[in-house]
Order: sequence, then C-alpha cells, then structure tokens
Amino acid sequence: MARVTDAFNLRLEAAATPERVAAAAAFLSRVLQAAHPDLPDGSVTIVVTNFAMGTHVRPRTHEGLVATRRILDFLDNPSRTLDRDPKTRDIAVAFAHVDQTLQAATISRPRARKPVATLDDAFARRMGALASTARPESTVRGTTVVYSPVYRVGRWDEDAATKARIRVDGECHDIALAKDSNDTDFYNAAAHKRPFPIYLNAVWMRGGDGRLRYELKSTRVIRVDLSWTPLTGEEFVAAVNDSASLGYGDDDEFEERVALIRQRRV
Amino acid sequence: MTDRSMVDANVLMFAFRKIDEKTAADVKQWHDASLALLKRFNVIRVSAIAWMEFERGLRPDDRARLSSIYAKIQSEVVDGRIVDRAIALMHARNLREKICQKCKTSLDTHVCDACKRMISSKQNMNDAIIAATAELADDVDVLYCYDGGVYHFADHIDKTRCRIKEPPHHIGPLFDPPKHK
Repeated sequence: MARVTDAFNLRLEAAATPERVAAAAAFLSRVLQAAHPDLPDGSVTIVVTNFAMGTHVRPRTHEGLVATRRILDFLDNPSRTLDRDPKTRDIAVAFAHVDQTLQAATISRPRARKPVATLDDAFARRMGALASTARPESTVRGTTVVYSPVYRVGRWDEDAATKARIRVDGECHDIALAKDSNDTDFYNAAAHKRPFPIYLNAVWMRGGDGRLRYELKSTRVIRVDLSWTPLTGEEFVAAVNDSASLGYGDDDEFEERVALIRQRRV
Repeated sequence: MTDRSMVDANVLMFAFRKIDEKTAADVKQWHDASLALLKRFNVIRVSAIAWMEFERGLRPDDRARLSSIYAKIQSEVVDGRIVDRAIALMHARNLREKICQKCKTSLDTHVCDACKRMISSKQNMNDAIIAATAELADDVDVLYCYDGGVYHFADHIDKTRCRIKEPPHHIGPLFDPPKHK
C-alpha cells in the first residue's frame, strides 16, 4: 500500500452535488492521465466527502504512486519540474483547463494546512503560460557504438533481463541486452577478453551543465560484432600502401590544408 | 601510451601523400612524423568524419579497396551526444569570433599564401564533430592533428579530458645548435 503522504485532496467549499463530483472526477482523470499516460485501471481511487466537497485521491499501486507523486512534485515547483522533465508539460496543460465548476478549489496534501495550489484564473493562466513555453528536450535517443571488452554476462534470476558488463564513459556498467539480441554472442565475446564494437540503443539525459550523459537504465545493448579484428599501426600502414599505391591525391584539398597549417604557424 | 589517442584526417593525408624531391621540407617532415605516429598504434582510432575526409581524396579504385581496411580500425561513429557537443563547441567559438550569419564564415580575413587573395576561415562543422568525438571519448587523451580548423576548438574543449596536439617530430635535432663556439 502506498504512503498517505503521496495522496492529495481536491477540496471545494461547496456541497458535493453529483455535477461537482462528476466534474472533479473528470478533471482528476485528465490530470492523472497527463502525469502517467499508461496508468493501469484501478491504480488510483478517490474518496468523496459530503458538505465541503473533499475529493481524496489515493494511490493503490506503484504506478498510482508514481502518478500522484509526479503531480505533487509538479505543483511544488512547476517551473523547475518542467525544466528537469519536459514531459510534465502535459500536467501543466491539464491544470490550465479547469472546469468552471471547480473554480477556487484547492489541492493540498493530507493533514497539511496550506494548499499546494488554488485552482483560480491566475493559476490557470500561469499553467497555460508554462505549457506554451518551449523547452529543449532533455532526452536524446539514438544508436551508437562503443569499443569495449565484454567483462561479464548474466542475470540475477530467471525473471530478470540478461545484462552485459561493458565499459561506457570510462566505467564498467551492467547494461541490459535488447530483447532480440543474440545472448550467445555476448558469452563468446566475454570468453575472448578483448574489445569488440558493441552496438547500443542509447538514451542520453541532459545534466545540469547542459551536457548529455548516458542514461544507462534505459540504454540497451543490441549486438556485438565478433568478426572485428583490429589492424596494428604497422599492418594498417602496409595495407593502405598496398591498396592505395598512388597515395592521397586530392591536390586542391591538400594544398588548402597545408596553407591553413602554415598560416596557423605564422 | 599512444592507444589513448585519435588521429585526424590530415595525419592520414600526410602519412599517405606520395613524397618526391619537389615536396616542401615542412610537408616531408609532417609526412614522416604522421607515418611514424601511425606505426606506433596498436589500434588505429579515427572519427568516421575524419575517415570520410581522408577517403574522399583517394582515387575511386583505391576507395573500394580501402573499405576492408576501414572495417579493421576503430571508427568512432557520430551519434546524438557528439552532434550535441559539436553544436555547443561551434556556439562557444562563435562567441569569440565574428561570423557571417548567412555563410557561417569568419569575418576575420587573411591572405592566402598560394593565390594571395583575401579569404576567411571556414566554420567547419566537420572539425567541430571531430573535436567533440575526441573530447567525449573517455579513453582518448590526445587528438593528433595538424589542421588549422580543429585547432580552433582546442580552447573550447575540456582539456582535462583531451588535448589537441601535433604528431611528435621524431627525427628532429636532439638539441638546439650551440649559439656560441
């Protein structure tokens, strides 16, 4: 059972008529959907009290807890939350369109005296402005290749995903294999104890300094290229000389580069 | 030691440029130094963009033969993180240097020593990508290059992660000639 502190109360100083309860339920449904688009049915319940309408929103599952916590975190500091996670823009959109029936309703934590938000016109305008402000996407996805030995391959138990321990960003990390990857290749790579090109479905998150860093929980290892056998420098020079006996031949490009280098040295 | 390094396109160009008696002394020296550097590596490591620049200057038949060699070097791909960093490097450079907003070339001009015309340094995105690739690679301490373009980013990359250097001059004099007899 989720903790009560991750619940909240939508309170309106008016009687809980069927119209108001329906409006509150529809509004809360929209906000919860914005906070957790894949929220399973039955994850959150509401308890409605009578005279001054209190609508207690309580999580019943982990997903429900994530949704209510996201809403409360957003209301605590909307701008900061939006900067950190642009996906919470959907919550701002939901709060920007409050039914007239719920005007001046408050949202507060259980047993808290001070509400975290009052759903009036000023609040709706502020949410609308926040929702319309463009923010850079904090997450970048794409495929990439890292060169690393496969140090270990395995999983904690039968239900867990198989992970490969590889070097990413200077440190060893256990990264889950993609569902359609060939596990055997990774066991073979681990036996060789030398670097291979390892293809990743990578997710990078933007840090406070503006730089992208691997988000390893969401990154997946796609495949390892076992056929890669690197040439040494000596072998490389000999192979290029054999293959391109006339050498580098773009005279214009070469002269331009030589001129640039000489210019830098002046 | 050298395996924590990458090479830029011009190191490959100088190493595989045919040298004859007419070749200028400085180009000969860069050829020798580049070749010696490459031979020291256990694995050749290069940005995919730098390899493209090198391969572009080869004859078509040679290019086809070289594809099997490309499969046996450590080619660093250009991914979202590298492009993001390259853009940041371009912006950082543009803050210092006045750039034409249309053609993206520097407004500071200089005289070309070959044709003697006034030209401006190009804002080369390739150079920014190569510099960003070396900077972000956790196991690259040095990017070896001669290029004036990549050097423009030397002040903007994180020097605790990577430095940009010319290949060492391995056959230079052991000591400066004495000034007084």
